[in-house]
Amino acid sequence: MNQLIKMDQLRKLCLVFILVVPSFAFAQLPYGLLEDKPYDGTELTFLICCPAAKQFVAWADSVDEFTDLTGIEVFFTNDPLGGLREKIVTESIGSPGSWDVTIYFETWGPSLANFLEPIDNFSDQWSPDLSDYPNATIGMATLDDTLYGIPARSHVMMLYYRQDVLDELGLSVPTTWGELTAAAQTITEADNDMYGITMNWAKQGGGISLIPWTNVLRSFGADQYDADFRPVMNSPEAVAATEMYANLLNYAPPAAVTYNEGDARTSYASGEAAMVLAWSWAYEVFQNPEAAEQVVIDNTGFTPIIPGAEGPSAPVAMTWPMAISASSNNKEAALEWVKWMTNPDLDLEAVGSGQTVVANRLSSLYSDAAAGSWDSFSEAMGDAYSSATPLPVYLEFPEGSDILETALSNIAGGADVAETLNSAATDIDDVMQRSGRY
Amino acid sequence: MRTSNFKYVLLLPTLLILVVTTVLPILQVVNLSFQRWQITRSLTPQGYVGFDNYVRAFQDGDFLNSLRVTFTYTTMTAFFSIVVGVFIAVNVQRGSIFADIVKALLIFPFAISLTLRGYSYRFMLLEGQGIIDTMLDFLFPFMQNVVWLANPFWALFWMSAALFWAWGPLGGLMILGALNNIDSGIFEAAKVDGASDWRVFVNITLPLLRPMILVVALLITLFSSRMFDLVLTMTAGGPGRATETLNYFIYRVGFQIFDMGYASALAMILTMILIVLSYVYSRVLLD
Amino acid sequence: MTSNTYSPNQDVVNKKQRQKKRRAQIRHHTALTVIVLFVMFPIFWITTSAFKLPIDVRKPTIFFQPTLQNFQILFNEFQFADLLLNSLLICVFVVLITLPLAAMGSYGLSRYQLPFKKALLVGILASQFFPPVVLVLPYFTLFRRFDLLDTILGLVIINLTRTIPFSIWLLKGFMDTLPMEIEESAMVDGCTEFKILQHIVLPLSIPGLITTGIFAFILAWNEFLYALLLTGRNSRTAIVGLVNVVGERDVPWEQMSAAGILVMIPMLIMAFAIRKYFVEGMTMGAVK
Repeated sequence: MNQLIKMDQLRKLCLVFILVVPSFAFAQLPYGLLEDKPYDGTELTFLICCPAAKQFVAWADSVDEFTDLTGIEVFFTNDPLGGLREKIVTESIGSPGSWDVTIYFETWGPSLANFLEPIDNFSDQWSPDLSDYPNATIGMATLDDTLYGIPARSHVMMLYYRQDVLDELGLSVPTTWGELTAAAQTITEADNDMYGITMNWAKQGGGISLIPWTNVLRSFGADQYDADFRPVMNSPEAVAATEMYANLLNYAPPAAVTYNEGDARTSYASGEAAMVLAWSWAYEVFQNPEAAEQVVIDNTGFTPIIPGAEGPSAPVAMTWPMAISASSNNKEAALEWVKWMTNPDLDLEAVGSGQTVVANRLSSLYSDAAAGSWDSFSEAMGDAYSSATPLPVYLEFPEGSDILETALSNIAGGADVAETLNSAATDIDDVMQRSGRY
Repeated sequence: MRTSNFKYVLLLPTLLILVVTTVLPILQVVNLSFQRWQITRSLTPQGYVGFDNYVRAFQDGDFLNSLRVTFTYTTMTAFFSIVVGVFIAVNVQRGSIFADIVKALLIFPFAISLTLRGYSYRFMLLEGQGIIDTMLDFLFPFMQNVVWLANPFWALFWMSAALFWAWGPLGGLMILGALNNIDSGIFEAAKVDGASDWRVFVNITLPLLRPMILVVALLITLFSSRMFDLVLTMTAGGPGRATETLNYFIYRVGFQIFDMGYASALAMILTMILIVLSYVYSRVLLD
Repeated sequence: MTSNTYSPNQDVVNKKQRQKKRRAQIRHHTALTVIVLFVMFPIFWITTSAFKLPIDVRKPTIFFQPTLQNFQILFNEFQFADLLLNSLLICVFVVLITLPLAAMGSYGLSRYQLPFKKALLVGILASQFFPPVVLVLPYFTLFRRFDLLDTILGLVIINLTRTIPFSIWLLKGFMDTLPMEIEESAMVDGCTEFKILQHIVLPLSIPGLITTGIFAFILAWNEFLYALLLTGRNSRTAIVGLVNVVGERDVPWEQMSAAGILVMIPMLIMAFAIRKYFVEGMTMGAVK
């Protein structure tokens, strides 16, 4: 922490140096920002949601510094997350040029591609260091070999568990899905008023209930789609994986069939269950005294999903790429803002100061500052990213994910796994054909 | 009835506003409903396709399902709203200070936005944590194992409850007005003849209230048949597609899949259904 | 055995009647209590949730450490004061424009013979039930042409398209119940039609106008989709702020409840202040 403050001061000093002594011929702006304020006075509109997210608060706080350096003013729109995609699309169609920069969920990428200016189009002006990012997140910001945005908020799935509960029952941290099922059963049957695992099976829209399931599929060597985006979620491996995943409901709170992602997090944080599959940022929740019981804060262990002999450890990752509007009138100025927002110091500072656990760059995750604030968690995140796989990103996602969420919801209600997945695969096949994919 | 030109002066501003802000946009939608426009693939409509979008609707299992759901949902909501409304009206009518206070509270639920209502009901129904679930488990132990929003029937029922919670009391106020207009001599006469309270209610009160109940039913039918917010906030259409209403389906097609041509056709179909419905109602009301 | 015939058992009858009356009284109060619980409990629960910390909000208990933190977050991070002000401004304008226009329109429809009157009435109602999702893009084009995007004026106009038709229906029903004799005698006395509207009809319609005003206010206050999509940082409303607390795939119910209370209070105050007129207007307007 101390070190961080020092670094922060150093950066401020740097800034003072830059501002006070602009006449130095070799005074160079950091992060490839352009000299001499070529876009002085430009106003940028940043389409963004969730003003309370810790990381975004840090972004908003850094605007003044950016304006000092470049003369560009930036306004955050703070739209509701639930309407962000609608907002991006309707603004782009109905009022081109009304926004300059946005962040989006990677799964929206193909449906937004028409409205985004690929970062690759600026390659003569800026070459960001992509090697510092996990392959999975860069992969999701890339469509048809073209980079559309820079990962600006990324997560990877982790398995969280209660060390005290495992110890008490003489269990070790599960390393395969078989062990996990056994542990969940032991914990549920033990006399401790606690369920083995908590899950989110509710239809939530946006394909959210598919995320933990996709982890399980991949650990069993199955997947939602093959390389040509033909549905393979009804393969024998996928059916076996889904049956195992559905079987876990026996060791989960009865409400798990109606839990969405947030409910599952809260359920674990309240001590209702001893394990949960959740995003890496959930660690912030599990360490927050206002949101989690003290016994959870003290005893939460974590491991990347899911180590095991039954299949590859392939945790799912996700990201919000930051991208520039194709209809923007200020694309060059917007690029300056993207350079600034994705700079390594901002990334490091957020995680290093303990403000948030979210970091996009491997160098930040493996830094001493991150370890100082989050102990071994950041490093574990980094390790998880190294084997992480992207969520399927495809144009038909809104239809495909809805069909699959409906199928999972039906399975939670007791429908036959193989039959349900078969009919889902047929429906998706229709969608793909109508869309002209094959 | 009078026949000067003053009537046109009276109606002109309203008609002007409605033509510009409602008729013109709706004509655009009518036009779009005959075109193909997948917004995410093309910035402008992709050409006329005749009645394809309409034909597609009636071959679309999800659309037919949403019609069924909407019908059940609307019927359920209208039924419970009226039961609650009549119960409230009959009980509040007897003047007492308590009754006057209750009357003042009846408008409150209606003033709460559907979004907040949806999220709140969802939280209050969460199995083992929600307050409504906790209370119902206490009152009806045999329902302890029912996970409300995971059960196709109960999910639809509670979505309806979040609506008749507001429309019941509001309908109650309207029915109360009709009740006050009934000549109380009729009730006295019936009592003198020795009819029980219940018989008076069924044979005299209800038939006299029929016109008002129909008005309330019309309003509720029209409002609940376009339900969307509660689906989004309470169930996202689940379990399965058991609570996916027509308007939610249109939202999904228009704003998730961004198929504006198809969504426009669906919107036209929904509007046609509602126009026919209001016509039928108005015939029933006039007779 | 009715009470108005004399019988030697009068005392017993009286006693029985008193008992019967008492039982009726108990039934009456039980029914009212049930109604109050039904109507107020969810509101009560939302209110308690607004003062809870995240850790308490999902527990079915009324014993907890109350906090004002949720409100602080709303005012600091979400600029709720600005949002409420915007909403108030929009709704006041909407009501002020809706009432005269709707009064004129409904008077015209109530008192005059018009070509296609019935079609007009059904049309006005039907326009209300067009799914807004497909209207967003046409509105966008329209608003861009007149430079109304992200302005208070734009939202006022969009709300008028909802409040005017609804108000016309409510007010027409109300005006149908007003006796026509006074107007006719005034006409005979040589009053102009405008004077009749101004001096006779409008004063008589005050309960109806107040009811309609509240409805218009509530409709505009709770309008969400257009307020979300046709606005930016200059004209955001409180109801959008309410949804805005939904974070990354999660609903912080305690913050949402707090926002809900802030959004609810102005309307509750208003509804309570003019409840007398409201009940009157509601009941008269709907009986044709």
